[in-house]
Amino acid sequence: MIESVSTLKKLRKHQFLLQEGDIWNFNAFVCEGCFRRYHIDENGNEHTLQFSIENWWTGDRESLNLGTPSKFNIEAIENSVVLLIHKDQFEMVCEKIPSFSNTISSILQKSMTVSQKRIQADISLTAEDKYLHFVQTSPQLASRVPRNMLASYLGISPETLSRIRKLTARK
Amino acid sequence: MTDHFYNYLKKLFPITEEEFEMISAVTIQKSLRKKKFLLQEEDIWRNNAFVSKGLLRIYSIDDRGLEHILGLSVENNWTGDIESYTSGMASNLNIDALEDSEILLISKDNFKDLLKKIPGLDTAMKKLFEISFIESQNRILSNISLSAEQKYHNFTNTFPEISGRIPQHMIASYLGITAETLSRIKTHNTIQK
Repeated sequence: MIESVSTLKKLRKHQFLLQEGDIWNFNAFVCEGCFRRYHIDENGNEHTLQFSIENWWTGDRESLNLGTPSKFNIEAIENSVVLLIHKDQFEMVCEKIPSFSNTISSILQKSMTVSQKRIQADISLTAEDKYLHFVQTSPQLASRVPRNMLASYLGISPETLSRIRKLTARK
Repeated sequence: MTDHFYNYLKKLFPITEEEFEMISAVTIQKSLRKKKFLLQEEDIWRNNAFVSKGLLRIYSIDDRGLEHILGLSVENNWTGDIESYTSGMASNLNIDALEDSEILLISKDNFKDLLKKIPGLDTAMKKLFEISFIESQNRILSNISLSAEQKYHNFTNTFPEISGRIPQHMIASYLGITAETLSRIKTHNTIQK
């Protein structure tokens, strides 16, 4: 049943799954590769909200739930494969398969916990500790993601990140 | 107090009197004086907590003894530690009352039971959860993208009902900036006006 409503989509590196101003109507499961969700501010600076690798979900829940144009871009930063389920069909599957619905709820609760932990890190840690926290909690991402994108995820400048990496490498 | 909760729930979904009776039957009222705790770190959080009056904050204390405010909840909002709630592990957060407050508590088991028996409540809670998830994403965006000054204006514009009710150093701790930086921003603004 889930298979019949799913569409596979291949994206090459640098291609977009979502561009700002568009409305996001899908649930997207990453089968292969890596996606980055980011916002571009008035000065043209990019701010990365999320990296999603294999077995993670990506998308914009604000646009999905409220039907508003997205303020985010979702870009493949590696050649990637994603499985898409339209929100209407996703709801239908959730209604028909309660265990699927429960699994999705608990995934959402986990994402909420991750968000809360990130907020906690953002408001309480120094730039150096933010970097170390990221490396500890997401080692699989730290080695895969370009440094300028990592800096934009941590909310620090690429220069600061490069200084921190030199400092921590020496330790 | 129960009238207040009834009216709140009525706005969320078309609730019947029987359904409200089921909810009231498992709801515990708790009065919390200013500075008293609803949760202290190392305890396990096992409740759903609705603020019917007052103001609560949820925060962590770091190794240096500094407080970092993760959330502020006024009337008609919920509070709690979702990580401890879902994992059953000890919390590293504290929740205390910043004003004399009235809280309604429903235990995790009772709440689960209510969600099963009252589909309208289940749908409404899922919607509320989505909204708080969206809010948390927007707070992350603000944290990583805005200057200290923009963060402050964003906060006072988004939560005018909270910013007038809490001391400045707590706003700074919520925004992740120092009290000195916040004071400089405010002085700077006064001069500009």
